[in-house]
Amino acid sequence: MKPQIILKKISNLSIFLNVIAAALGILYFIMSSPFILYDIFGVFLICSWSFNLLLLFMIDKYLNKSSKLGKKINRHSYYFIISFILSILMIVFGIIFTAFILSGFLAILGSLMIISGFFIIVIYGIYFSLLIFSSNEISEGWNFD
Amino acid sequence: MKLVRDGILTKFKKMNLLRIILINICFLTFIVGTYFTAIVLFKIPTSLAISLSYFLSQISGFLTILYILTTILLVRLLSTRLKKKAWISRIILIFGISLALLNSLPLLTTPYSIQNAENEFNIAYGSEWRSEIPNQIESYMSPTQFNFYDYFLGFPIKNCNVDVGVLYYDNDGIRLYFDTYYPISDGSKLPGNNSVIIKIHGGSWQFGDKSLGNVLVLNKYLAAQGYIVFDIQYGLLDAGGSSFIPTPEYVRGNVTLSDMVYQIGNFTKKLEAEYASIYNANLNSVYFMGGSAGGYLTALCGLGYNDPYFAGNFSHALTLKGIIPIYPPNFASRYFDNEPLSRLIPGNPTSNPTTFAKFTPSNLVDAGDPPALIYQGLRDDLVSLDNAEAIKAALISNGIDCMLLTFPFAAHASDLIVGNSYSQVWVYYLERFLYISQQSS
Repeated sequence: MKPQIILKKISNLSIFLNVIAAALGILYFIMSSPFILYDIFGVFLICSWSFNLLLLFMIDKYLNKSSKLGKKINRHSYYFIISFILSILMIVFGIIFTAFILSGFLAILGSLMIISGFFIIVIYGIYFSLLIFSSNEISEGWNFD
Repeated sequence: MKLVRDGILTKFKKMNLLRIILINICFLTFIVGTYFTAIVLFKIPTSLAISLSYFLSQISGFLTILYILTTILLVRLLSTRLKKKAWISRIILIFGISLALLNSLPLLTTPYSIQNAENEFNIAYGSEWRSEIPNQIESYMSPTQFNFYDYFLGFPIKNCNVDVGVLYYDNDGIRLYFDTYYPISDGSKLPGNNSVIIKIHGGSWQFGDKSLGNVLVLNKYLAAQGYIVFDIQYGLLDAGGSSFIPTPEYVRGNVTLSDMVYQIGNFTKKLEAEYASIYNANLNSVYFMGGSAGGYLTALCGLGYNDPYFAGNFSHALTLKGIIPIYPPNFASRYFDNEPLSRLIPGNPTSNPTTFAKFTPSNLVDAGDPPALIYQGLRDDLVSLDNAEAIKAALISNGIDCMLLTFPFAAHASDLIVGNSYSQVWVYYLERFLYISQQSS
């Protein structure tokens, strides 16, 4: 299969996974009692993160960084990696806070860190995947040959 | 024209500087990550490594993702500079992926922990043990042994009533308090049926406290299921040392293990006389539960409450339905033969063998003891597996059910973050053990 098609399919799947993860995430943060649907959410969460990582890794090889579009995607890929790292750190510290402190400012801060960390990843994931998907056929931005 | 050129040059220099900073951060992450990975996999006998080991295996899934991201970032940052040296990128890629894979091991071994727990329950209760739990009761419990959302987004905190700081002991300059976690609604309609859980914190008999150091999230979870959780303090040995574990000064003093047993026993008497009626506690169904030093005291009190050596310490109105020692030390001669912990038992194993034998929980087992559910990490540098195995062997040889749940790569205190891969499995089987053991006559 051609790299262009592979990238298009991955970005397409990534949009789908991130949108589902975001929707189930909203549901989860509103009603967090155990529910079999959330097991599916957990799988979507892992898959969406994995596909985001795969996209970030793959595009470097095919991006034409000398073109305007290539530069734009390249810039956003760096922004996404950095925000992904910061979001994961926010979630980890949020989980540690909420494991030990159940009330007061730090508990609220911990919960906010988890929620915002999660949504930063999925929302940027949707935007970045859409960017790749929509520009996939614009030859100026890519070196698929 | 010159101004434009200078502007472009400045921007280029800034970009270059940012790139260099990011490359250095990535390499630093790899160096720190290698150290962290070594701590997860091997015993490193430094206090820093032991302290870090408490947390690292609990968050290793996040570290896995961080190492993958760092690898991608570093490869991309270097690829533009090292176009003709692709092998460097390949080495970084292999190194980063290896680091990520090694850190994913605690998460990847979750099916092993589940299978081991299933085997233990099948042996103790038979392969149809789940049929002992009615559907209506099971609906209050975790539906699966593990899920990704609790792991990556945190374990939900349940609602319950909490009474904080009730004084139960004030003697010889030592004051002891307890917190109570109890259900909002009528506990008799919940799986716990107002059963009592006496929770004893850890901290090597010298440090620690109720509340913050005693898995608060689990206290609330169990209370929401209808258990009355008494999270108690006990006297701690003041040997002059310090620890990062928060410890109130008013519980520290010249305390021995006998004093600790006496204080916990004193709590059971007050429970019978005062607190049971306040909280509508079911004294026909009582559990001891605790981790580390608290796990030791759990085993000691739970197995020794009917031993003539400790007779008189405990209330006789309590019916013990189970004990839940978490990474419990067992062998007194191993733990209390060196300073400062040797102050906890008079003499030494040679001069005072009877006392040392009595303060070894596995020696206290008799046919009248309650069943046990034990948690043990297989990478625990402080309390090795043979301690839990000795308690299990003693119980099994007396015909008492004992389930030993083991967790690969789990260090000491690896149950503190309740959503982690070990704790999720642990909570799933704990709540089922609590329910099934309540039903036994």
